[in-house]
Amino acid sequence: MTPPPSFEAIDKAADAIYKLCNLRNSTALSIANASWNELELLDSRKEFTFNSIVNTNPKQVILSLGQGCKETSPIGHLESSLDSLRALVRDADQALSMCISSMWRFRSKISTKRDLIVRTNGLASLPDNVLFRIFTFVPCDELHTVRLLFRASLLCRRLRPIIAKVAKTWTTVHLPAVPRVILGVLKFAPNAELCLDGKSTSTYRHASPESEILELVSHQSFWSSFANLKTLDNVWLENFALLKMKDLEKHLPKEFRGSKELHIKVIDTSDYFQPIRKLSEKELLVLDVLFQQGIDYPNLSDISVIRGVPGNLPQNITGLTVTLHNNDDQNLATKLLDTLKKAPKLAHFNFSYDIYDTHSPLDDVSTTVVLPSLTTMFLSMERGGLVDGIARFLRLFQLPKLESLYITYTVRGKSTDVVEERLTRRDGDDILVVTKTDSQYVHFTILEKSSHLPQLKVFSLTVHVTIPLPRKQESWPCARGRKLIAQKSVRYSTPRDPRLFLLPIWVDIPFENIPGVRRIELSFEDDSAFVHLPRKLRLPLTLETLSFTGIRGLQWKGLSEFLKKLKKTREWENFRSLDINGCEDIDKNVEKLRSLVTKKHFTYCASTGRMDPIELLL
Amino acid sequence: MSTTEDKTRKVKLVTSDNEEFEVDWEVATRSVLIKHMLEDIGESEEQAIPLPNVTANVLKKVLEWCEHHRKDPEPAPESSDDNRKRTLEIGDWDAKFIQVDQEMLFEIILAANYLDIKALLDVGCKTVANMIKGKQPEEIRKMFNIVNDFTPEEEAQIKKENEWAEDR
Repeated sequence: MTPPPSFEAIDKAADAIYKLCNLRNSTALSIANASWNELELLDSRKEFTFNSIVNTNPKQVILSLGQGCKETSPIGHLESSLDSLRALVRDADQALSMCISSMWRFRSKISTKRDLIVRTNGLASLPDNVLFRIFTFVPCDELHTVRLLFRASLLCRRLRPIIAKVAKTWTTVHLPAVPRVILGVLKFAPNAELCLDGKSTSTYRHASPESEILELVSHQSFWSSFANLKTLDNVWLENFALLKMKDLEKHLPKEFRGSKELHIKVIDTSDYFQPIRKLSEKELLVLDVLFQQGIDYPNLSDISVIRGVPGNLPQNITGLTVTLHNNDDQNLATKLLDTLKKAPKLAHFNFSYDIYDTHSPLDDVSTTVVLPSLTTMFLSMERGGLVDGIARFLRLFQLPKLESLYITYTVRGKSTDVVEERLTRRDGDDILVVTKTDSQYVHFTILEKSSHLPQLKVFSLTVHVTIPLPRKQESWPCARGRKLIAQKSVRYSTPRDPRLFLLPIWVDIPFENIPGVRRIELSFEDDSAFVHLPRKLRLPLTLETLSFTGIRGLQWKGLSEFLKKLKKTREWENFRSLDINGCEDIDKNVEKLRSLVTKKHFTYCASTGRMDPIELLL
Repeated sequence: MSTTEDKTRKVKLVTSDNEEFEVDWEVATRSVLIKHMLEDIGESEEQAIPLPNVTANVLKKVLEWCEHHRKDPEPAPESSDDNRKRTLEIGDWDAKFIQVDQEMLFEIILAANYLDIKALLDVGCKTVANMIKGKQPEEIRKMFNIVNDFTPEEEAQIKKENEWAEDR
């Protein structure tokens, strides 16, 4: 038989229960004390229950119960004590639940009161004119902030017209080429002057739905903003290309006022990481529509187009920049000539054209374009292979008023242009050199004999020549324990020429065709070329500035003869400066040259060595 | 144009809670409203200017600002095509001055608006604009306890119209 629990055990149990009750009651008390008077929700019965619980020591209850039943068995005593305790805990639990429920109601009351206070004293308490003033200070110069303010206008009825009024004060809002965004802003602030950004952001690089474009082009405010565009990229053209041409033409305003410059970037792979692609026929048509005859752009004087050619130019256009790349439709180059024919007032033409083939569609054109007003031409050409392309391009034009001609010509030799040759060095060892495949020298004719530029005052020619190595660098021999440094381009020798030199290039510039020129700058900026000018320089006596850079084959004799001849004339008074940079044949005669030029401005920089691996061997 | 006599003159201001403030004429006339009222009452120095829309604790704060800016040139009148440069920049002293709780901030704005002190009003408005700047609409709603009073139909329509402003 199990022995009955001792009074000591009962005492411990009562203590444990007492602690538990105390814990619960202290929580209830702390809540109740904070809210008792405010709530006034507990009825007297609950109050009694609550008070009886919180004011009674369960240990005393147990002990008193136990004392009243000393004659009963300890088990019976404990059971009745526990029953009483259970009742107490149940009551405490009920009271606590009541208290928590009351607290929630109380909390709700406080919240309502707080709302009232904030509403009375918050933003809504401010009058409209102050709210308007506040929102005029929120910067809205770009899409992110415009969007934020627009959303804020949807917070309540009162704010909506106030913020819409603020939007009307916007003067410069930069928006990307996204019709739905432009439409949204136009609807939000119909009178706002928008500064549209012709460049699409990377987020919006795809064309929009046709319906949006149509809605946009029918919006007069759009066109007034569009007229101020500085740059127009391919996404715009893709957008327009979705429309039927008649729709676009119908809405295209006849007057674009205020625009002075327009730059059109038709494709920009660096921005969008899109594969380079050709323009679709429709995109080209859109480009034409934008410049169709009859549209009045009274202030537009300069247009810059990258990877596209406008079919027509506004009548008053004086400056045109066109950049065409290798992957573009090559017919664009020939189309450009047709466009130029219709630009009689064009004064400045900047053409950048790179083609990695040896053949260009322009090479086959036989017609001549007369540019009667052109005074300045910047020509930047890049050709694949050792191709003489400058004169071919220039012969396409008659330029009776051209005063300044700046040419940058880059030829990128191909590996098929050169071959390896094994030559025997003077000491009998074999060396490896590179020679031109057809054993022909490269001959550049910059101006053809027939070219006539009677008004030319400035002639600047910069040539870059690169030739690839025919084999890996490691294949080159070593000399005197030193590994030869083979540059991206190397010198080579031909059996026919006893000298070992760089790729020889003969440059022919019939200076007699530019009789009035005052400034000539010739620059070959690559170590791979050994440039020869004709020994006899037929330079015009009108020269005031003469500059040679990297013309290794510039002969001292020819130059000195010209200077001596010039000194005998009255024009010598006008001659101002001579600039010699890296011309090897001049190096050993520089002092003679200095005395010849005397008081004129003379700048000289010796050649820095040719980095010629073959020379190192000799 | 203020005279030397004006500069030594004192002005009495009485707030809505009947507290009286005696301040320099130069300080009080930072408020265009008080300036006009003084012009209206003329030379009667003893007459206090009642300010029924401003409490004492707010006026005290406003006068602190006016005292600091008493030598500032008078602001140019605003035209309808207000071209003032909308910059959010606030001077160091003003920034410190306006570091108050939201309730006081709005009280100062209201007082500046009522008293017609444009520069102080701008300090207050810029401070609120700075609080709004960069916040999401829900944050603004919560911060200023703005209650959405659009009907569900209106809200649906607005959401549709609002699509352009959402990132896609």
